[in-house]
Amino acid sequence: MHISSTEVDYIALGASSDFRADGRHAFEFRDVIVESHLVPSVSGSSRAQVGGTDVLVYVKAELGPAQGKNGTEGVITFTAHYSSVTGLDNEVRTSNMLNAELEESLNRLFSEKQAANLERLCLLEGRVAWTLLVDVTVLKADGNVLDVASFAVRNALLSTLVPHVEVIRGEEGEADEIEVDDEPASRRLLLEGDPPVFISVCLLGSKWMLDASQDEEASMTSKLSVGVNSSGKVCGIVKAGEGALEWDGLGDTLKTAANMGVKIIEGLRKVQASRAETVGFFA
Amino acid sequence: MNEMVDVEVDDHCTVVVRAATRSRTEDVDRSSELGQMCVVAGDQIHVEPGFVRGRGTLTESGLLIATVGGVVDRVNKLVSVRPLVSRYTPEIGDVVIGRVVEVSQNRWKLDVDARQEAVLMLSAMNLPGGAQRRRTYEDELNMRSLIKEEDLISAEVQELKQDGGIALHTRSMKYGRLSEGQLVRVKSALIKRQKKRFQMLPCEIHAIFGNNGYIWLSEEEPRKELEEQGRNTETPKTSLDGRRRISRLRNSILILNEMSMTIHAQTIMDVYITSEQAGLREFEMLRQNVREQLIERVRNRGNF
Amino acid sequence: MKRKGYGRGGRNEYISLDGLRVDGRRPEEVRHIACRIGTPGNSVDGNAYFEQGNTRVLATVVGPRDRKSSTHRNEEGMDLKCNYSNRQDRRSAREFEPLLENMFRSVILVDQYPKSRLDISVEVIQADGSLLCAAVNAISLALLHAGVPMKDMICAATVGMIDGMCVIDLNGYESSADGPVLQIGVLAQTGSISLLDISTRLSSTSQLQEMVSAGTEGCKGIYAVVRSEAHDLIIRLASSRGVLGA
Repeated sequence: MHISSTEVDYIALGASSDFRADGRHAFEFRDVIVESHLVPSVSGSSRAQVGGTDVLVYVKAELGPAQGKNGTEGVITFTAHYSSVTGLDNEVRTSNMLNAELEESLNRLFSEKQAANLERLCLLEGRVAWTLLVDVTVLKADGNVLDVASFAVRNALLSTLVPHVEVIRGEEGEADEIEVDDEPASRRLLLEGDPPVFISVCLLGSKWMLDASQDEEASMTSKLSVGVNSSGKVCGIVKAGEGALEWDGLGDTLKTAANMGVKIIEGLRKVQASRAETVGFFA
Repeated sequence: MNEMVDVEVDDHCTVVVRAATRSRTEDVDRSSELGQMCVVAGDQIHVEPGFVRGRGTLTESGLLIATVGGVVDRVNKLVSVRPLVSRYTPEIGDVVIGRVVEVSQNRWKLDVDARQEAVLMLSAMNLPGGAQRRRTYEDELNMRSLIKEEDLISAEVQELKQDGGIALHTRSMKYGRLSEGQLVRVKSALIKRQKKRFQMLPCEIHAIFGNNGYIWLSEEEPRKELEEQGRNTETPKTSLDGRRRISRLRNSILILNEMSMTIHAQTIMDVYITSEQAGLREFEMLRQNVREQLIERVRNRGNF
Repeated sequence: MKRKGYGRGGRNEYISLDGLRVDGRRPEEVRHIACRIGTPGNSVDGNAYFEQGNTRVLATVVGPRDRKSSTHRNEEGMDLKCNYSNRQDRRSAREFEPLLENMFRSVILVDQYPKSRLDISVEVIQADGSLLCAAVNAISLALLHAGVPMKDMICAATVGMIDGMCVIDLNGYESSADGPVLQIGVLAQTGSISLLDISTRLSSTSQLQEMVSAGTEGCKGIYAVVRSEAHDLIIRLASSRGVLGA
């Protein structure tokens, strides 16, 4: 990311005066624009845009072997990539730094017990469960990609439709079977859980802020991404950046991040419920 | 443990979450005079015999074909197409703002968002001790102490090479490294080619309008002896009020860029003043619906 | 595992007795086309969103810009690279990228920009057949938007031969039918063919001729929409800058 030392200084001083380049306060988020059901051919899809950051998420639900210690769990796995339509240099965008941060953070967050109830995805113990392949595509990057991706992930998961599956209990001595109803009209929502979102805080100089733009991310020394669910519970924390952190004040900052997570999740829920017209790329 | 977080903790901890809305596309009149003059790449342009082929066209079997999308320009027998969008095409005398991508033996290479990188030779620079001082070996070693990678500088286009290379110079007091200010990047085609590239806007913020679409906003005038610009010098920091004005200007410029409107002092101040009169906070200006309304209001004031 | 289906049972049907396709189209009909040139908030030089029925693609163009000396090739003129991505089918890139590069290298005036490079990128948002063709159409618009000088714009369409009839603009379902599939790309003004790709063996050269002719018609239909959108864009840009009298 290209930024000069004097620009970094200017941004850091702005942060300490609580006045950012676009006029935001430290804990102000840019507008979050979300949509679901963009791509009917996959099980679930959603798009989230914040400022110049634009992320598209697809969910493919397949039946697979049950996982986990006792074979009682389904699987949610993430793949992520920065599309070449972002205009980023090939070297930069395929680098481990960008993709790995996104994939690893999401995979780790969703492997936490509180994040996803994988047991609900199990259909036949020890044998069959739902496998959700979640693909994250970054179409434009202007800071805070992880948070924005997580908003789209949450929406996509909660709007994922799957065929109706019935468990048919076997007769004596016979194994249970499952029957999949391919009739499109019988599709139903898969998940009723509470997928968490990421809210990242960046340290600029000595001030923490939410929703960093690309320039701010290039100027920050540390970043903490907090996984938050709808009740404000923290499901995980990921640290990035080369700087070390002072503990003082960190607790309050994390509270603010969790607070913002709650607000955003509530906002996502409202938009989802409003069943607004899908506009797609004609916005 | 589960914890219900107090949502009233901080007034400034706000967010708006909304659904996407279709943006308005204006209707166009294809049969209007303007519509007739607009062409798309590949279009055949009507010509009289004896025409002379200009920029943005090619001839094929005696026909004149447009090679870019734009407006047909006819000056006597010269027929050309003025492109409406394209990468910055430098002209000698242009002022550009560029970012250093490479420092080598006696030159800096800069990205000016053109089709090629630009070069600033050590010999083309304004050095302490006056323009006539010979460049020494020490100067070459110390290049990074003057300007290093990622730095932004303002410069003038001195020469355009045959192969498209761009040579810059900073042989005037007003050019040099930029610090303590805000860079705004827009489409270069929207910057009017005007005489005064260094201006002080009515809200008392200095602006450099780089022909390459880079605009630099600062509270202090960007004119210093290179000596004073030494990296250890304290530059006066921008005041909070200065930041507010810079931010509002920045947002005004970005709105004009988004709406593909020409960017110069007049248009910028129109948006700036209208946003102030509407009581908008700097950040609020950027919302999609607010942006559209702002431009409506500005248009109704009859300046477009 | 059992599946309770609603399958078509027996032979797959593509064209009804009334001569209509599964989506209600006649054989020579192209799907509904919608596009958006220049999506907001983009920092790339050119970008376009293109829909051909349920096939939806995004194309961007960056450049011409400096070709770093590290990627220097012994070529004069512009270095052109195409990146194609379809998350649902990751292998198609290897097949499509060279085809796209060749096609556009033949219309872009590469000699005008020596020592520079152009990056074309395509991301498939939704796939429902005719992906390569939709990519071509989207790229043409993105190149126009970026102001890259071109001899002409290219439009492309697929043609299939189903039940002895030429069928234009195949959707995903139709693409799986037996029979040859032609992908044809045509230069809009001159009509010369820039892409001619056939998947399986044809029964005769007259069959090829029939398909090419049908495909060319289909491309013309697509170009009509493409040009109209492109022209509107130019007019809008011109009027927002007050070009008349400027």
